[in-house]
Amino acid sequence: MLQNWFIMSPELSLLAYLPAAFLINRFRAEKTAKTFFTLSKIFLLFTLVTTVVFYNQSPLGPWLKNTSYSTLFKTLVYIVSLAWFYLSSKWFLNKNRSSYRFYSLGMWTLFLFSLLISARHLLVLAAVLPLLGLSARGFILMHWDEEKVAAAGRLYGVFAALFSLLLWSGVALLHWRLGSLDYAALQGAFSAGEPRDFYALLGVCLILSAVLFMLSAAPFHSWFVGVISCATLPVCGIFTLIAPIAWLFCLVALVAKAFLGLAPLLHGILLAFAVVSLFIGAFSANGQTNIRRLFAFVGVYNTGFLLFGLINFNSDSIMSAFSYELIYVLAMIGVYTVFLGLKSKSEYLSDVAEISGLSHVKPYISAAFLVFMFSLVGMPPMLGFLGRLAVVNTLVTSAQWFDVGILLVSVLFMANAFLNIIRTVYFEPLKNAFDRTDKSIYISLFVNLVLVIISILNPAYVLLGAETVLKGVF
Amino acid sequence: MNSPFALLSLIVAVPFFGMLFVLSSKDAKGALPGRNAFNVCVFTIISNIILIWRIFMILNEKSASLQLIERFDWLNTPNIDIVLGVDVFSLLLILAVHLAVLIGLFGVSANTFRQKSLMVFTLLFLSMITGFLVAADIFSFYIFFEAMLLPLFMIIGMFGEVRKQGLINRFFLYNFIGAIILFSATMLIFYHRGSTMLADVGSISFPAPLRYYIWGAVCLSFVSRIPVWPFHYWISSINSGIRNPLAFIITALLPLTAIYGFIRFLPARLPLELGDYIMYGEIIAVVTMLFIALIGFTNRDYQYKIFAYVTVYYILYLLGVFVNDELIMTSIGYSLFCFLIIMASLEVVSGYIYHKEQEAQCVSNGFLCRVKRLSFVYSFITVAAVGLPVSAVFVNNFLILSRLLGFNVKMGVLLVLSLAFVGVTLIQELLRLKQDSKECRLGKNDDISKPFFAFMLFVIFILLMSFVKPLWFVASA
Repeated sequence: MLQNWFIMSPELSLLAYLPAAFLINRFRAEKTAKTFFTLSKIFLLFTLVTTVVFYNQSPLGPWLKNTSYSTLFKTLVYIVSLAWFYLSSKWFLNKNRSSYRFYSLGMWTLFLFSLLISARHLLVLAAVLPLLGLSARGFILMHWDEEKVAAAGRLYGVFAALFSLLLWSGVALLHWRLGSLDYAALQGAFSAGEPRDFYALLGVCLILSAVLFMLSAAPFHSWFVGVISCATLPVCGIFTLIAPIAWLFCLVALVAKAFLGLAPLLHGILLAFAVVSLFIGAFSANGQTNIRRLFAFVGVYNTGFLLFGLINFNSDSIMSAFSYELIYVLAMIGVYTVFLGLKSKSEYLSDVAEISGLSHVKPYISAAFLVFMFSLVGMPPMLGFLGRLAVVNTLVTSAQWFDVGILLVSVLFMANAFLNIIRTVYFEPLKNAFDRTDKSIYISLFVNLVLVIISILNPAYVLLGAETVLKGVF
Repeated sequence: MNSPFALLSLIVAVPFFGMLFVLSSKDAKGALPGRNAFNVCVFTIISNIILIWRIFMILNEKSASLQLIERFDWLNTPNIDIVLGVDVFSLLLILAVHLAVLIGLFGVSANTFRQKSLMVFTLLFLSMITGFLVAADIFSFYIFFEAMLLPLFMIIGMFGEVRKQGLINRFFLYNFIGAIILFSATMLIFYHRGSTMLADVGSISFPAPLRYYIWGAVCLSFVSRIPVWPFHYWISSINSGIRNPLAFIITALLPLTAIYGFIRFLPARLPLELGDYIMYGEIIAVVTMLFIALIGFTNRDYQYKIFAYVTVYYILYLLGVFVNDELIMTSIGYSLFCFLIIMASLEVVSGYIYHKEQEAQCVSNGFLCRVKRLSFVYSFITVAAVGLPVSAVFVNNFLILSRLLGFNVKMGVLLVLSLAFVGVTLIQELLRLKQDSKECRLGKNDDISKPFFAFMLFVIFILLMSFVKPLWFVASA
């Protein structure tokens, strides 16, 4: 029993933050945005260490299971969260607003993500998804000053409720047809060819649609685009950087551990979502005047690319999806760091026209922005090329030439969207007076770029360990 | 032979590190903006030229295969090794590219508009094109082929003075499509053979439909970088408008990557299936060549004249490549070496005259009558560009032309005609500058500086020595 509590210590540590932060918020007189970041950092670091220590220990039997690959994803989520929490503290300091709610919601969300990643029972998923929906809504409505943020929150609330219902319906249907919700039992049933009737398949589709909704795959992407274009920067980072990693693993675990017996059906469903996401993301990114909205569509496009990597359900495909996601997150952290450096009269800029001629006054930020954008297109020698190569290679090895063609065409459209930003930043005259950029932004960008350079020179540093771990997924 | 001290990686890395130094450079008080960046850039290029020269010393120039091989385990999934290697041909081109960029730098030494950015992207481009020229396997070849587009796009966008901004996007996308097509061909080759050396690609036998696609894709991606109809529009509309000499020189190096790509990729015996298509391609190339030469002849803009000259020569080399003869390949290498230096010199001195014209707001007719140093340099470069016996272009172009005439007389005649047109175009421009006119307000004081003159004398020396012996700078040659 005591042992189980120790194994649960990463999750308990995340939860323990909440009363600690509450007490500090209540009783400490001098508290700044940094106070809560420091507190969350301590708890998060403890979580990170204990997650690694108990990497293969499972606390709640068939409900939650930790494996080396789930630990890999959890570790990634925590590291990215740590980085983003640090950067977010700059936003709160600049805005002089309380960060108590943000970090509390953040740690609570991480706790839910941790359960989601360890989940081996559909009931865990059914319980976690609505809770995550609620905390996401809490994030959206945080520090809202405008009506459009409230509208985005309402829209998200409606959609999250709808997809939670769909998920529950799917879970109920599967329980009705198969009599169990345990991943291993479902896997056994589907692999043995047991009931392949309409209701069981409908149940699987409903569950997948809920996960794809959270992953912001098109056509379920409108909430994501709406939220990213109007929510505060720290919140946008949570949705863009952290959530996709957790949901990607949730999808991988569902496919690999529960529904693999339905591989041909899943292949078709995921391929359809991949193609739609890819083209909606790439087409819609073109012509956007709001830079955050544009990057929201980049997120949708990324989901499509990710799904393309995953659709073959083998160790190569999971590796390609993981490396693509890792590289995407690295580039997106860079992009969001740049966003934190784009200020005029203490307001964060979000319109493409507002950053016209940025390179004249902020050459280093512009250069970093350039590197991250070309990386997102997958252009060599940027790190993004490795992601593109990994995904295309998976499709090539399974002779899916048509899919390769689709991917490569979509890259062209995405490149055009970024060219418009680059043109504005580099080739157009300066139109705005920019505020001084915090040194920590430059340091973060520098660290990110060093990581990028190391990774492109020797990808084995980053990916070799992951490759060994991920071989056990399928 | 393996490379001592990873010299090939070093010549790719030196410009890259130079770029990082330029990024961190700051201007001294009172100095011209970007002066420090300029100095770092010049120093980097000269250092790399010394390294290249050192590599020539240890290279066996009689061997046709790639030497100084460097192999790096790069990726496990997919299993890709990066392999670098050089032969005399590629090293000559690397040296020529460095010299051309160095000459271009003298053309922008007085520039103060975003000089640091220009230096950064120039060095990045130099690093990428050097990587491209030392690539020995299909992946490194493709990576550098695409990678050089980024600095090129930035240089054109910032210094190309392209009025229609959409044009830059289309230029990039058009080149990007070429790179994506090459990527698909590379992946197909990889699928069939794994990580493959460039030299082995020709010996792989692909199944029938795939063979068409792979060779078609390879040819299409390279042709997209040469201003041959119907691919000429984007390149010509961008190149002919560039007024920054360095930007023009860098943009004019783009077709070189295509010529080199054809040389490296095409097997000793072209696939039979491509035979007909290559014949059609040759017809289109010759017609384009004649067409551009005529436009250059009639156009009054000096930049278009140089663009026409550059294009006609590149197409000549392209046609020479398709003859697929080892002797011709050597001739193309020697000729290209001098051609790139001549092209850069011509652009720099023409750009100088153009800027003087703009400053004085007068025509430059007869300008050369008043300035001795510039007159000497310009006359020599024009004579070399026309193909008279002052550089390696003379003998080697003669060999290429004679082989092409032997291959197809009609095509050869049209080629000679096109070359004659661009030659006359350049001489016409020289005569205009030599024919004194009262409208020209430029005088003695507008001559080129002594250091620049000394540098151009050094360039002339290189050209003259290459006429005597193409590999004169290699001790054992």
